[in-house]
Amino acid sequence: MKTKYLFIALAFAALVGCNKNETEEKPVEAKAGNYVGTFTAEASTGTLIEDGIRVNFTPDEGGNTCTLILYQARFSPRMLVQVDVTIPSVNMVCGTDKITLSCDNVVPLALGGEFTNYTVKDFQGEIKGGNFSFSTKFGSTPTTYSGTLEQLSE
Amino acid sequence: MSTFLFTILIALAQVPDTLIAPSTVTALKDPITLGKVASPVSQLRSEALESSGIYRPNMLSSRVPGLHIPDYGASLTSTIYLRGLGSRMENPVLGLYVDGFPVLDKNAYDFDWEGIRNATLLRGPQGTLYGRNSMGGVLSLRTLSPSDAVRPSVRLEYGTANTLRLGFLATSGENAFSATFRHGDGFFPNTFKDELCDPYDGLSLRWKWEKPSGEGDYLSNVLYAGLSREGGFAYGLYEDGVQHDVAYNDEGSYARLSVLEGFRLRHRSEKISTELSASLQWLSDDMHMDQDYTPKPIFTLRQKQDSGAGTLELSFRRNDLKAAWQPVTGVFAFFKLNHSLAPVEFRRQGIESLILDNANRNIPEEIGYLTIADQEIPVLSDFLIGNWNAAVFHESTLRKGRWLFTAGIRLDYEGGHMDYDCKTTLHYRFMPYMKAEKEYKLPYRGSLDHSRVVALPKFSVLYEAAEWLFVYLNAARGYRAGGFNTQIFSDILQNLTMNGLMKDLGVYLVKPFKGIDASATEYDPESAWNYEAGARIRKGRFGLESSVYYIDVRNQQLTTFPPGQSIGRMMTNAGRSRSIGAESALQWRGKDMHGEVCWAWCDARFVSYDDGNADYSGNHIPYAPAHTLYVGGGYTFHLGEYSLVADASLRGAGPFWWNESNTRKEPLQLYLDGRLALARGRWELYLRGTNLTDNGGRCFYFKSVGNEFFASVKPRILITGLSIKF
Repeated sequence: MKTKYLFIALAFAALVGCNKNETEEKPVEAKAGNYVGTFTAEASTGTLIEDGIRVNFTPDEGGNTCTLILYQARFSPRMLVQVDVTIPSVNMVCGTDKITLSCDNVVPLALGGEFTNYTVKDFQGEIKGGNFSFSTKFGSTPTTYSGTLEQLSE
Repeated sequence: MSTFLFTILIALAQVPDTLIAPSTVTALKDPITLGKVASPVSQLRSEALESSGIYRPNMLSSRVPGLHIPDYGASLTSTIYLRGLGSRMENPVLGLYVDGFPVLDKNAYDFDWEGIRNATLLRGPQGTLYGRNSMGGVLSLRTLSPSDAVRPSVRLEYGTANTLRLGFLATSGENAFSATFRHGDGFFPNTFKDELCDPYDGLSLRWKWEKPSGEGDYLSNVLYAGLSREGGFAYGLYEDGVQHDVAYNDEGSYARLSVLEGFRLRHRSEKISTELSASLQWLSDDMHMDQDYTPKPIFTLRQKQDSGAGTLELSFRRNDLKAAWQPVTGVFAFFKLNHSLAPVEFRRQGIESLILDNANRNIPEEIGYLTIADQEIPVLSDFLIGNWNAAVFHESTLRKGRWLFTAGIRLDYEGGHMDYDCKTTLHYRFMPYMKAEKEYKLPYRGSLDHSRVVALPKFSVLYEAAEWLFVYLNAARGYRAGGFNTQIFSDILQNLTMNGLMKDLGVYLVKPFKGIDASATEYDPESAWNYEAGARIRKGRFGLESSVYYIDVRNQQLTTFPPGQSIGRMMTNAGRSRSIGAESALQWRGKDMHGEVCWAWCDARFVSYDDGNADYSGNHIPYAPAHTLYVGGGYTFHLGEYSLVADASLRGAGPFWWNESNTRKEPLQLYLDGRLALARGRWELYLRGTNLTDNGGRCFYFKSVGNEFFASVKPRILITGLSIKF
């Protein structure tokens, strides 16, 4: 009789344990999307703050990296042009409540080629609850970004 | 007997040019004779035209008070200014009729003629009877008819610049034929190419058939054809106060074929005469232009057009010309289809100065710089433009004793449609990032439509104070059609290319290239109310016609350049402007002596005009002269069987203001012309000269890619000629 109750208790414990693992360990799904927010650059010539800057997040095939495109970005108040900058191969880790992004010494693409003067260093970012933020250096210019999801990509 | 006949012939040849005998001259469309039209009228008959050497419309400048048609460029640049109205492009302010058929295309306005019976110009808006593009007046050219029964004649002229001109005229039964050929080596050297830049070869043919049919019925058919090929565009750079010679490296030429076939039927019933006139018109031309007008390979323009049109008019008028009430009622319609190709080609220096310099000026050096590998970039444009018009008109003239009252109205509907298909391709590389050139293509296609209904009323009163004195007042509205300015497309594409190329690169200028889109190429009609008071005197050998006027212009059409170092012209509607003026023509004819003075003064200014860059209110309208002047006279010496005629005249126009800001001004320029003719029987040998003092002057100004250019007046020209009537 006691053995029977022991088996029942063990079976119950196993069942509860399995259910608890499924709920706690499911990672966030990485979906492509556009975020719109504020980009700040601490240039040697002054601080640039620009609103309405769009960033596209697209996971790569394989699921471990992603590509970010920063649209119409400037890196100093004296820069008379805005450029679209693509940061490839950003490391991506899907956690249970957020997606963590990182990379270092990645040469971004812009103006048709490698934008070596603005090599991305010490990139740290996260996507959580429809918000995207990151901090990095483009070349020697520290920058930060904070934006919200604009639309869901198909 | 022969001496008597010679004397009569010579006396007839000396009939004053613009004295109009009211009882013998039939008005153009007006239901009354020219002598009682409440508008100033100028008329030159064939003898005056021939003796003055006038064989093109622009030669009427200053001879008609206020008329200014500068002679520059090529035959397609026939710009007409009258009473402060006019512009360098698109629709004219002067309607042109040849034997009663309207010439629809302004590119066909400048042509050589032979065998013209008279040239009549009604000044002031004639929109009620003539519709569109007669806001300043109507020039009617009547060619000699078979019924004029003139003797066959030939004319041979030779003169300066190896100018050769041949003319032939003959009538036979119900037919009249004329032909004219002209060749000239040119007057202005292109010092870069070491050749004359403005040679001319042209041939004009005319056939006219007339047949009165039955009592009062009338049939006629006219066919004109003109073929010409010329250089032109004798524009010299003006820089730092120095006028340079004409010097450019690319082709400058204009070739044209124009044909007009017209048919007229007039039927006289018991009380009403009905007239039906229809025409088919064709124009093909091909223009090449070095658009920068410098020796540098910057950019060129070609414009090749094929244009066909048909006109139809039906009018009714009363047979009883003695009745107090004289009406004319009618309907008019036309359709015109124009296909034009207008490629602009940027050469290497143009790519560098107009595209790359502009782009890289806005890109920080630390970012990089743009390069383009192409040696030439073609910007191709294909336009298909249709225009149509329908109108109904009525004018009534009522005679009450010495008073003549006239009122009329025209309702004019006009529509237009343009399809445009433009494209360009270039190969660019952004340094130092791109490893190879990338192709960039820009297509730009679309269509535009417009339509307008315009009412053109007219009111006048004429009082016959005496048999020799008429005074009148009139108020009339005229309009100049709107349309599509295709020349600005090169500028639109230049800006679209730069912005598109930057976007393709992922570069966005903080201050993007300013530009306009195709919708801005459409411009509205220009309209004007003309208020005038005048007097007409004919007493014996003396004739005088004077008037004063005020014109209120709305939506004036002006040619401007977009801001910056632009390459295309654009038409804008400039708010309001006004013209105040006076005109006078005085003629005197003696037994062997005659004299003529034609003078006009016009103060034409913007009432309100702000183009977004500057406010030009109060400034003079550019290109319109403040004065035109013609003073001429002559004397005939009778030397037995011979007669020797000596004529001399002084003509001129000015001052002009060359731009809206009035920073460039040309003073009044006067030119001395003369003629000596020895005649006996049916032949006449003559020597004619224009600009006898070789007075330099400038007749045209414009800007291109930031540079200023002037065109000079033609130098002294001496022509010897022989005219024989068989």
